[in-house]
Amino acid sequence: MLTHFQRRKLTRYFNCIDQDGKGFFVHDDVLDIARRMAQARNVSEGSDDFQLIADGVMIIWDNARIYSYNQDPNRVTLADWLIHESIVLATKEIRESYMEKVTRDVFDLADLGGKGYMTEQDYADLMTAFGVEPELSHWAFFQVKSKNKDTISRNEFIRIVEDFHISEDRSAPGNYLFGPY
Amino acid sequence: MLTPLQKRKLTRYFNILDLGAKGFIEEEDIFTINLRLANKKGIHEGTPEWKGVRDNIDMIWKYSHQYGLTGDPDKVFLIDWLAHENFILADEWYRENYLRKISRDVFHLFMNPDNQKLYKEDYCELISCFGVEDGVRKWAFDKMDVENNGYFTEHEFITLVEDFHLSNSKNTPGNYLFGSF
Repeated sequence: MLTHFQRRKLTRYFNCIDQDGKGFFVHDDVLDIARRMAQARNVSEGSDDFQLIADGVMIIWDNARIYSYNQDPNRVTLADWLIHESIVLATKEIRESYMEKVTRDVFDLADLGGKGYMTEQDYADLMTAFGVEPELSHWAFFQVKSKNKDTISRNEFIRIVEDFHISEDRSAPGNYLFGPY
Repeated sequence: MLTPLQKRKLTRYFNILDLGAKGFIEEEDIFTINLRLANKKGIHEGTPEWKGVRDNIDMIWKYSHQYGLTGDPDKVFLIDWLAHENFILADEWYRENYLRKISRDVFHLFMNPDNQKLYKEDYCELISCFGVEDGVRKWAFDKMDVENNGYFTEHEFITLVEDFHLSNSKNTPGNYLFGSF
C-alpha cells in the first residue's frame, strides 16, 4: 500500500500527465508525451524513430489501465493511477519489467547523442515532454542532480526515479523528479 | 461541488499546509506557519500584532476542522480539507469573512506600507512562510503578474486568491498562487 508521501508525489506525476486538469488522462495525453519528446528530438510523427519513442512511452498507458481500479478502457483516473502504482511498486517482477525498463528506455531517448549522461537541457526536454512546466523542468534538474556534477548518469537517473516512487525520505533529491509536489 | 481542477489546486494548498507530508494537517502545522509569518515581519509573541496574525491563520484550522468530514479532533485529512473548501466556497459569508479576510490581512502584513503594493520579494517572503520552495516562488509570481509590473495591488491579490480557489480555467493566473498544481 502506498504511503501518504508516495501518494503525494505520484499525484504530482498524474497531474503532469493530465495536462488540462480534467481529473483523468486519456490515450492521447500519453501519446502527447511521445509527441513532445519526438518534437524535442526533431523526429517526425509516423517515422520509425517516432514509433520507437511511442512504444516506450505507451507502456505507461497500457499498464495504467491493466492495473487500474475502474478498468475503464478510455480513461485513467487518479484512483486508477494510484492503484496501478501500488501494484507495480509492490511487485518486484513488474517493477523490473515496467518501471525500470521505462526508466532505462526514457533515459536513452533523452540522452541526446548517446553520451551516457543527461545534460540540463536533455533533462528539461524530457520533463517538459512529461508535462512539467518548462521553467520548472530546469529547476527540477538542479534539485535532483548530484551537488558536484552538472550531468546525470544513467545509474543516477535510475536511482532518482526509484527514490521518487519509493523513498520516504523528504530530503531525497529524487522526490523532485517532476518538480515541486 | 468542487471540480477536478479545483480539487487539484486545493490539494496543492493542503500539501503546503501539511508541513510534514503526513497526509493530514495538525494544529501544530498552522502554528508553525503563524510563527513564520510573525518572525518574517518581526512580530513578537504575546503582542497585539501577534494575536492579529494568529487569530487570522487560526481560522484555517477552525473551519477546516469544523466543516471537515471525519470529525477527528486533532487532524484534518485531505477529504476534510476538500469538504471544508466545498462548503465555504459555496457561501458568500465565508468567502468574505474567511477567504477574503485572510487574503486582505496577509496582503497588509506583507505589502509595502508606503504605496500599498505587494512586490515580488514581498510575495516571495509571504509564500516562503507556507513552505513554497525557493525558485518556485519567483516563478509563481511571474506567472501571475500578467501586467508585468512587478507588484500586485490589494484588488489584484484578492482576485488571484479567489481565482485560485474558484476558477475552473486552466489558464487563470491565480492558479499558480502556491506554485505548480
